[in-house]
Amino acid sequence: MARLVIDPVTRIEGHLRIEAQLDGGKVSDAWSSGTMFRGMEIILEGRDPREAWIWAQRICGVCTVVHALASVRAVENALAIPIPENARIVRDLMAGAQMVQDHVIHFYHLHALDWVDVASALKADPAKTSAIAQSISDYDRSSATYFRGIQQRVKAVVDSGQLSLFASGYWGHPAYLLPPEVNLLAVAHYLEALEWQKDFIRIHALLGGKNPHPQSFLVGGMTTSLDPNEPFAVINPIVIDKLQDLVKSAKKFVDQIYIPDVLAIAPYYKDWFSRGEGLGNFLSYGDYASDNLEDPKTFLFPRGVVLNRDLSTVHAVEPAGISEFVTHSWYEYSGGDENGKHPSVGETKPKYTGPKPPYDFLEVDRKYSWLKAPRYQGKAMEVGPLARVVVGYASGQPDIRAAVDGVLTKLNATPTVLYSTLGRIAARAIEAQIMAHRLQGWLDQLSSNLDHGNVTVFNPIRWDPATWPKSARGFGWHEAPRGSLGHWVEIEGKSIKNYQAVVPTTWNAGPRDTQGNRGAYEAALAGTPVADPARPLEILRTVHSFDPCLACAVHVIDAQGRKYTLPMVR
Amino acid sequence: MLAVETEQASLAGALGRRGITRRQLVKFCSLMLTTLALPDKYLAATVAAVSKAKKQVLVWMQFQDCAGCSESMLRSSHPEIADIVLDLFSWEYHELIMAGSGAAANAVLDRVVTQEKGNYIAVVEGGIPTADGGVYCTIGGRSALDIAKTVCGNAAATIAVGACAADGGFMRAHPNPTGAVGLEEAVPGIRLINMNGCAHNPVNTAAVLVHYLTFRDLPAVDQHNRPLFAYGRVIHDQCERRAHYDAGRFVTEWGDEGHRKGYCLYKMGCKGPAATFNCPTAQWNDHTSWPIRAGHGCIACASPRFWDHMSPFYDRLPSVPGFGVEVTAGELGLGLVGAVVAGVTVHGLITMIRPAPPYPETKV
Amino acid sequence: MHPALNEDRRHPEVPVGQCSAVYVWQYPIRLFHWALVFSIAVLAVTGYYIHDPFIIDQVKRPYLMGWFRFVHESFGMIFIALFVMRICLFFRFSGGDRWVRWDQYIPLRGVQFREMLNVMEFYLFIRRTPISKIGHNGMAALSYVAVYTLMLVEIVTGLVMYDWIMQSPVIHFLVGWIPRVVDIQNIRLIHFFAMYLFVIFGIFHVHIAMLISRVEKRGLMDSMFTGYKVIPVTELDEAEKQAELSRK
Repeated sequence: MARLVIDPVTRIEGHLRIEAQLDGGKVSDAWSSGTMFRGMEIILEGRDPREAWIWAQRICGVCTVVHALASVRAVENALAIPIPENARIVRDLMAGAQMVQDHVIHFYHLHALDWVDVASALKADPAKTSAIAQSISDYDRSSATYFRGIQQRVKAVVDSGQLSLFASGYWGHPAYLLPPEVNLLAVAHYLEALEWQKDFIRIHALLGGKNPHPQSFLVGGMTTSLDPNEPFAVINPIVIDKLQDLVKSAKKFVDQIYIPDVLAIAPYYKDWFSRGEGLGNFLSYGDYASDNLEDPKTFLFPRGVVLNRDLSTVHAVEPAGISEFVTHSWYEYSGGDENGKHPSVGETKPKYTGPKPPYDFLEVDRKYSWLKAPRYQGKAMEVGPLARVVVGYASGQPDIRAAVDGVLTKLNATPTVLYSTLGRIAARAIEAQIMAHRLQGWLDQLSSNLDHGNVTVFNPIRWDPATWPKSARGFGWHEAPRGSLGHWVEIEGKSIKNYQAVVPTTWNAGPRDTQGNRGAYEAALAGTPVADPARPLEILRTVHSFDPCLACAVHVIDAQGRKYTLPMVR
Repeated sequence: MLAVETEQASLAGALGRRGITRRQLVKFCSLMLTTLALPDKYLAATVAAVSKAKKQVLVWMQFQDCAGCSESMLRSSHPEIADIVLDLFSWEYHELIMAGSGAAANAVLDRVVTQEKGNYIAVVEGGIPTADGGVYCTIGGRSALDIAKTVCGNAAATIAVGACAADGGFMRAHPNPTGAVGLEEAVPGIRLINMNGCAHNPVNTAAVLVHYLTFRDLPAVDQHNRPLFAYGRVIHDQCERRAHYDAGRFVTEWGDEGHRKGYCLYKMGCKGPAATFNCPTAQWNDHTSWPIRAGHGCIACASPRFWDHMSPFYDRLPSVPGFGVEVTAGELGLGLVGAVVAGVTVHGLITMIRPAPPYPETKV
Repeated sequence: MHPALNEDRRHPEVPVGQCSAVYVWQYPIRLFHWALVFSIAVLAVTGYYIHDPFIIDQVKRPYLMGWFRFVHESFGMIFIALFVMRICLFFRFSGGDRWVRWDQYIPLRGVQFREMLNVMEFYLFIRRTPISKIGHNGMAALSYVAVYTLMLVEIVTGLVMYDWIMQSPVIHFLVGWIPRVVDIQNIRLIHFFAMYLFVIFGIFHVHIAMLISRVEKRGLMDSMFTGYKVIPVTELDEAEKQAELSRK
């Protein structure tokens, strides 16, 4: 019995600490703790709700855009502002681009080093790597010369003795199973992806001025003015051409590099198709309504809940079923910490009761995280790409069905392998591919609107605060790259009275609830083998498969602890 | 003579080992000099400095952050991030992208702080919470403040990237629940430069890094400790929409004709006139665009304490203290004038109906 | 006989022989007064336009904001000159400008405080008769000190913003440190809001001038045009004695 602490968990966004109990070379119990708190919602009180998105977007710089989107949706919902079609398309394009880019970055730069031994790549035969590359993909940069160049570059770094970011890696760990040639392939694509992601994300610069934190959202639409004849309109035919090139590059990257790489690496790690299963309960708010805004079943990612891995039933999402617990979180509730609260009736008083830093261990049987523990109808849920793919698959969404079946056929597997560490990786890749191709459809639609003189991109009816009701409540949901994201807002007069966010990583990385039920990370880690406690690569694999984003996850709810009735829910 | 040959050998060797050609390197150095507003005569020195055989050690710390500044650095095009990571620096610690976690990561940091003491560059992202003993941000069980003191206190120079590291960022906005501050206040007395912005612009940060490599010194700074080459001029004066401002052509409603034609966003609350930054010239994401070109007003994200000072972002002026966003300064002023007019009228009427006093009566 | 003592301007109860026309406001202070009125009006209008461009003219006047800013900045310089001029007049002891000297304005003597109290009593209808003085009463004088302070605030905040774009070394030396203490946006807010205080002062000023002029019948309004007030001889003798005393 030994207590293992991983803090900082790197290659994630934010500050995550994992404490794990090891028993016979396996994790017998685990605790996930967010160790950073900022207090965004307290700060937002009293400010102009029209600018809430600018603030909320700063919750996270990795999943930039998503909080801006959820925030404007919440305020638009509160003030009952319908947005023009073009605004929806531009938002979908930006959020979709974010999803594709984020998934690629996650796979190559945040997750790949758990599976790929960079040092081993030095032993590879570039000619063999080239042969492998050409057998799995049509991607043009696949010559032996190219891979030799990459190998020499890595060798130069290793020879210099200054290994940069790779210095602390677990190279040579017995859990690395890829042959050197595949390792070299992956290292080459690590660098390719670094280059591609910064080029592709110019889509955000074109539509939002910059990335991270694009700046083109408005409550009621977007600032991206459309005009087919104006050179200074944000979107004109010249910009459309640029966007076309970028969307093409996304399709090419995902189809020719990302998907083939996942399919090439996965067979070497078949054990991980049964490890890290986690909760088995999946939640998706659903998003990307192309035709029917009112029917969440027709969304690109349908809305629904799947319980206990039962794909035969998709339950409807009841917004009132969401509650957050602070039994094991550093907050206190006025009515006692044992009861959960719906985000719209929630309250927060940060109250740190943990050990005084510097400390060695957290008091895991008491409060141990800055994350709250969200539950859906009392159950812990997993959100994210896997949840979306599972819910979409169970709902019979044709794009998701086809993509999942395609991948499963290639891997010669059944849908049950999805409930695993590798399943999350596969789901993310599937989703990136669906999204990359969907971007094209939206862009073509935007281009067609532009050609036909449909240039409305903003609805001005409620811009002036004088047109607002005395008080209003609303919520905005979005399926962010990491899962289901919800913002709740209450407006009184011209300012925000209460603001709150329940974000994907809070669902996944949250601590235990009152009943002691584990969060998704904690559940997924149980039973994970750890060959070398000094180099806990296996734990990182499962944690990383969720793509943690801790800055998002730590948030607070209304500081005054007022009571509200539930928001109006359509 | 021998020294020169050795130097050349080292340069050639260093270049050979790297994936970049000399041509690429010279191009990159020229761009950095342009950004820094330095003359060409420094080119040779710059090229020599960035191609040293032993790479400059750098650690990138993240405290109360959103990782946006790290992501911004990942969007760097000149130099490519791959070049920075592999070729220009020995980028030893950066939680977002480094290979090892937990003990392995902490060991790297400990080694840098002890073995490279006084020689490494620390880049800091995120604010530092000071309230309640620093419990609002801990890494490896240590408070952010504790780590910042150790890491920045032993660095040759510290670069605070982004608004949060420079002045506490949005966490510090009223009411600052975690007692967040910027590095300048958290660890006073260190050799520091602030790269304000939300996020920081990677071109400027790269230029500062190159400046340090070349001159072993940080560039000249303004009163907020920001480099003058990037923060010396008002955005409004460099803006591509400036001609529209002078001409009195304004966007008056989002999506109107002026908005489509790219008129000035002044009336929509643009903070370009209040912000100093090279955003219009440096631009973002490989010189693709910048916020005003995307049709939204500037929020002055590179100005000190901009979250409180520059909001509300859709009004030209800040809120009057005590009134929040409910009443603007103009409305308050007009209200006061109205009240005074009413009061004076009543006063005048009362005076009129009273009999005139006798004359003269000057006794006090 | 001086025109100030004409039948229609004089109080009917005052025989001509018992009062005298006194040249209270010499031309520098009158010039200051009217130039200030004009420049405040111009600055307020142009400043408001700069705050909120209410004329959106896209064709006819292609440099509208530029002109408004030019006029605003030019009159800002005139405004500064007027402020400097007024400060000089504070310390001018030659000639007959004794009523514009600093000691008439800064309340240091008990009599000035007593005047303030009595003036407030008059305005609040507790006292029937106004406080008539040859120059300013203590209350009026203090209100002008407030206005001069307001002028200084506008000048300093204006110069900070001017320095923001012009980066002139002299101005930068004088006010360049201020944005470090008060954020530039708050400087803007102060500069803008002080305009309303000028407007409010203007309303009070005109109202009270008309009120007192009508009640005391000493040519108060006229004096700011002609310089002359009508003062009873007795009071003049008293003032002479006071002046004599203070000289000793």
